[in-house]
Amino acid sequence: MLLSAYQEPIYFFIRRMIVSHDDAKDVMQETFIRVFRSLNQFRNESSLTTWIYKIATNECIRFMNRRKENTISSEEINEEALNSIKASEYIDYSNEMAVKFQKAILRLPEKQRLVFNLRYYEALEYSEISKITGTKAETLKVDYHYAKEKIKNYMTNE
Amino acid sequence: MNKSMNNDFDFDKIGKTTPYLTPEGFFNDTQDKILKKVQEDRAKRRRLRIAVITVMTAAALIAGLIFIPRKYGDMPDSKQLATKSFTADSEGTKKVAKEITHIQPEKETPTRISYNSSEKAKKASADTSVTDYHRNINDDWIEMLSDEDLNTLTALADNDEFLN
Repeated sequence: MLLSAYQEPIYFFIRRMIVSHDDAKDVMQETFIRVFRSLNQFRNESSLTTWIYKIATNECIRFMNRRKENTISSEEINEEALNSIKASEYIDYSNEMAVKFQKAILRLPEKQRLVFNLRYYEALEYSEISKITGTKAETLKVDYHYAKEKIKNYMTNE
Repeated sequence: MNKSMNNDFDFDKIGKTTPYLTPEGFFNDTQDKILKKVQEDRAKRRRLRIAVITVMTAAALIAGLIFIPRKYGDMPDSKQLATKSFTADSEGTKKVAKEITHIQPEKETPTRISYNSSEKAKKASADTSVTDYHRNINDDWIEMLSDEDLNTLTALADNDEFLN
């Protein structure tokens, strides 16, 4: 029941961060293994949704950190993510606006990308995002605002 | 595409659409795989927990066997040591008597059986261990002495300027 309810939203959340379908599949599996492993430790300090997204976020970060080991700069990391969207399977390239929009998001720094995705796509409250990222809600609002500005800039000027 | 866009990009135009696709039946297949992996993970953790408990129990048993002393084992037996110090040989008895400094009976004030030796008694290992160990030694050891040894000791006591 838990898997049925959360599998799809968690997969697409991870996919938006990582891009590659195969990588997102692996990260998603790891996420749910951890969820089931730690289910008895869930303390109701946050909602189940927030808790599961937190585990998914940590797994994404873990995956991206492993990828960082082979790269030198944050520009290279973003470049790699952008290259993934060019070369990846299971992407609908016919929807050019959607592809461009994702490219705009992938150009954001990791933290801003995360905040934007959680707010824009998952529609989570800032208080919930704060529990997931460990950042104050006010900081998150600023992050989200700047992320939207950058995306707007890219979509209109590029 | 870019020229036709307004200067202000409208997020509502794109909404939550993404270009990401999945293979057919992906979510059904993945659900089965995840459940299988979760079961394997649980079985693995259970085996690991059992192994850790077994190793810790074995380690505790071994530590107990090594470090907890046996009841009648390593500690020197007072009677054995007493008899060892005062063996049948009277020469040996005299020698040992000189070296003994303190032997205290169990309850009363200490009775010093020390011979008038000017130098400080060097603490020989076995005998000193008798003296240090058995300050509360009872008189049983006296009964184990031979008559000859008893006579010798009595003679020593008679000549002891501290006792008389």
